[in-house]
Amino acid sequence: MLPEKTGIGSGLLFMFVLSSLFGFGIMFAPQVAAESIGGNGYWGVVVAFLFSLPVIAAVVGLGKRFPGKSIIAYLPQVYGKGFGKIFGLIFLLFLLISGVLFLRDITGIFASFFLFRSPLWAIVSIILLAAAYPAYLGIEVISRQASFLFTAVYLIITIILLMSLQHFQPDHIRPVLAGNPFIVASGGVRLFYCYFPMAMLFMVYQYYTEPEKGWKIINRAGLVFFVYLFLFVIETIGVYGAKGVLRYSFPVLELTRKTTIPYVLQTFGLYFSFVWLSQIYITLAGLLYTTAQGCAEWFGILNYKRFVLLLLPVILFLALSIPGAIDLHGFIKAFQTIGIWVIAVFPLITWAVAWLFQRGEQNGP
Amino acid sequence: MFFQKIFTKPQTGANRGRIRPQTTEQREITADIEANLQFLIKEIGEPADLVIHRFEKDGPVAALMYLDSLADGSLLGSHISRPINEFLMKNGGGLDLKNTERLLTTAKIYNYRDFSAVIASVLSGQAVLFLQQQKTALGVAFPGFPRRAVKEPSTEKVTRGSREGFTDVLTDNLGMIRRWIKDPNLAVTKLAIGERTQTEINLLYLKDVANSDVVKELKTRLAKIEIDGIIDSGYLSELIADQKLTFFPLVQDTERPDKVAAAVLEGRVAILVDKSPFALIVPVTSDEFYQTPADFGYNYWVGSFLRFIRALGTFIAVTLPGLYLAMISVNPELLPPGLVGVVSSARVQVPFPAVFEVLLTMVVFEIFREAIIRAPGNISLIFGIAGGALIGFCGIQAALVSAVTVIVVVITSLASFATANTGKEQAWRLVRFFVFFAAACFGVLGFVLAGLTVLTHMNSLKSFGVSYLEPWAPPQSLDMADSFFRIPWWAHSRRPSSYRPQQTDRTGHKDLTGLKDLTGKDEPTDQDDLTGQDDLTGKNNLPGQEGEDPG
Repeated sequence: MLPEKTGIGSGLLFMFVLSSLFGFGIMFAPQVAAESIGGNGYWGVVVAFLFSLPVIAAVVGLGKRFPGKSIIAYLPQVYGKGFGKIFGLIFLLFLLISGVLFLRDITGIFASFFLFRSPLWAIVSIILLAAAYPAYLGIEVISRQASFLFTAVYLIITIILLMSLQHFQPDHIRPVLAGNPFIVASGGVRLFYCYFPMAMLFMVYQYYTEPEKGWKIINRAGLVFFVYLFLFVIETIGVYGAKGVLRYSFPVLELTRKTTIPYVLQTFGLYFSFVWLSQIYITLAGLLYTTAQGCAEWFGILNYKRFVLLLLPVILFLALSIPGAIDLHGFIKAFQTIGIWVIAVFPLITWAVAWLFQRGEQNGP
Repeated sequence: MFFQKIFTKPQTGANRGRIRPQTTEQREITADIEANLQFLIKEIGEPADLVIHRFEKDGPVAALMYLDSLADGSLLGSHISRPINEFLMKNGGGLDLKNTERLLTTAKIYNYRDFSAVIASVLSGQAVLFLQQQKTALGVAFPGFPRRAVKEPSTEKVTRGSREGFTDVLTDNLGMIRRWIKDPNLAVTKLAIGERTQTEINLLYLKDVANSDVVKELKTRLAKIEIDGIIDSGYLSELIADQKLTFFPLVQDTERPDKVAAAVLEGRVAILVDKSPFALIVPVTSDEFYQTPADFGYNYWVGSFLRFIRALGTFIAVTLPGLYLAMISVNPELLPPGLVGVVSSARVQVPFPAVFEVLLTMVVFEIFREAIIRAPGNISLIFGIAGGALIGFCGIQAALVSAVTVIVVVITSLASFATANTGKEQAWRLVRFFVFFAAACFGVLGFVLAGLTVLTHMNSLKSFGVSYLEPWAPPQSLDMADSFFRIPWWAHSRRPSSYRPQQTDRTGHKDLTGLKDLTGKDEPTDQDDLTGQDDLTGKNNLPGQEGEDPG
């Protein structure tokens, strides 16, 4: 077979980052923003975006310092074999738990809106099995999937965003500059969970064929996601008000269900579900793939595909072990706090240690 | 990949040499005609259509051997037998190799020195002439086998464009391509594949445009093929495909010479197979299956609209039954209340569950479709009427199926023909059933997940290293625009980058300064067309035409 022309080129990396962020972050963000900040929750989105910049810098910086290696491979180089392996295991557990909580969370939507009579295990199983297929085929296929869907998905999402303005009430988001900066900052930290899929970049950046453009491309994807996230948060709060948003478990879906084209289409909810499902498919496949890839590297086995299959029952078991929605939200809240340490703080420390002790390639930043 | 192993690896212990025919040993032709003929008869037997014509003048002088079913006897008589007889009558002998070559009034004469080449040439339709006291036999080709006339291709009709379709004869097909592309860089590589059929294959590509890696890879894959016979180009397309376990076509097939010529100009490689009216083109991306020559015949707005309609038709053909089933049986709450009323009232007397009803109707339509293809012309009309009446009227009256279901299945069947390639359309037929069953099990969720799974599969495919879903994945912005819209020629300056051609530029503007235009004037005036569009047709490039007065 001839070598692929682009590999994971800039286009594919952009699509992968954007799709995985969108799939992971968009649905519950208005709720988190409204809960932690209130009517000015949209400012938290700006803060979360600013927090994401050092993470991107760490991804690119560590990628340059350790080209062709994932975080699992270079952690032992930075911290020594023992600590490196332990930190690698923690990172892998974080990826695994991300996948489990995300899977369980989205399953709730389908159980509530589409498959009322189907047992939870059946819904979790089919979503997991469907996502396992691209994960088995690898990151190239996952990113191509994101790329193929990009035009249609974001066209529909943009139309939905525009049409959602019909119920928008500016009073719900006023006064614009009245928020307490500390509350906004802490809310922004909570909203940073939307950028958790960037953890996958520490695993896949090694396959990026144009690392000199890494900072620009990932930032561009983050910026596009920020624009959509900001608009969805502001519109959801604008339509339902901060208190109204808290009434709904899936506020963005409720927003799209309310959006209509008079006399033509009575709800956009179904179309949004389709396009959002396509994005969570990519996110979940990415999480599954990176976890499997990480396991393969941690155990020193080259074939990640076996781990994709091995992880399926583990994830299924863990996802079904969460008893109910209240426990799930408790776990998610704790996970949002822990995640900041794993995604933002830990890579920055690693980068600093690598720089300080001259680990990896010396010409790295 | 267990199945892949079973399907691709030869079984242990199988004697692969058994697929080869027991070929003639490498043996040289002798100077004795009778001995040569005896040996040949022993090798190929005495088939009923074998003709041996002996020329004698005080003993054997020459012998002409051919298969009556493949060579034209009357042409052989007038171009070979008559000149030889006249020569013998006039000179009374002295027929040597040089004399004979002068006598034969044919453009090309082949010289053979060993029997294996003689047998191969006789079996491929040549007549072979043995001369006494000569160790070289002469081969001439006067094909006499039946040829199909050049007709409009039945599977790829267009309302605007060439009416020529490939025939079953390789040389005719090659000629049709050559009439499109008069470029010395057009490489035509000849191969023979099939141990027993020795089917002639021609590879066509532009040496300075086609990606050399693709050409090399294609030749390697063809060289690896070991099979007893190639009956149709479909055999080859399966054998050279990158991915064996897929139902999507990874090699484009077409009956249209203009499509092949356009593909070769894009930098792709065409494969012509003798006795097959379908040429193959590699590499191919999924978008190619939705483009027709008519897109380029009409205005680009119309061409773009046609492409959109084809894509929409395909989408409807694949998704409509699944979506309909998901909506009526699992997620009716997603339908508008008015529509729910219409559907449920139409189904109120139907005794079957929705899944069985829709499946039954779909299967019946599939059977009708298969039957109509094979039915004689007049009967297919009756089938159409009977089928329409049976399902559309009687089925609904008997409350076996609902009217809405019939409408959905009929729209699906009609929309399926929007795909411009039959191979791709057949693949979508299978996908339709997959999506249908997924929707039957899990409603809208199953429907979307099945669609995404099929897309994932398509994303994993490659055709000679080119991603199947290029230019969408990986993204190539310019090609992406061209796959959805038909970009006008004046804005279409490059070849598709997906195929990685050596030369990317495709159009340009000629500098007309100092050239006389075709009206014979010295300098072009303001009224003359200076857009350079005439140049793009190549008219001004014809030798000797520069500055000539057409009058």
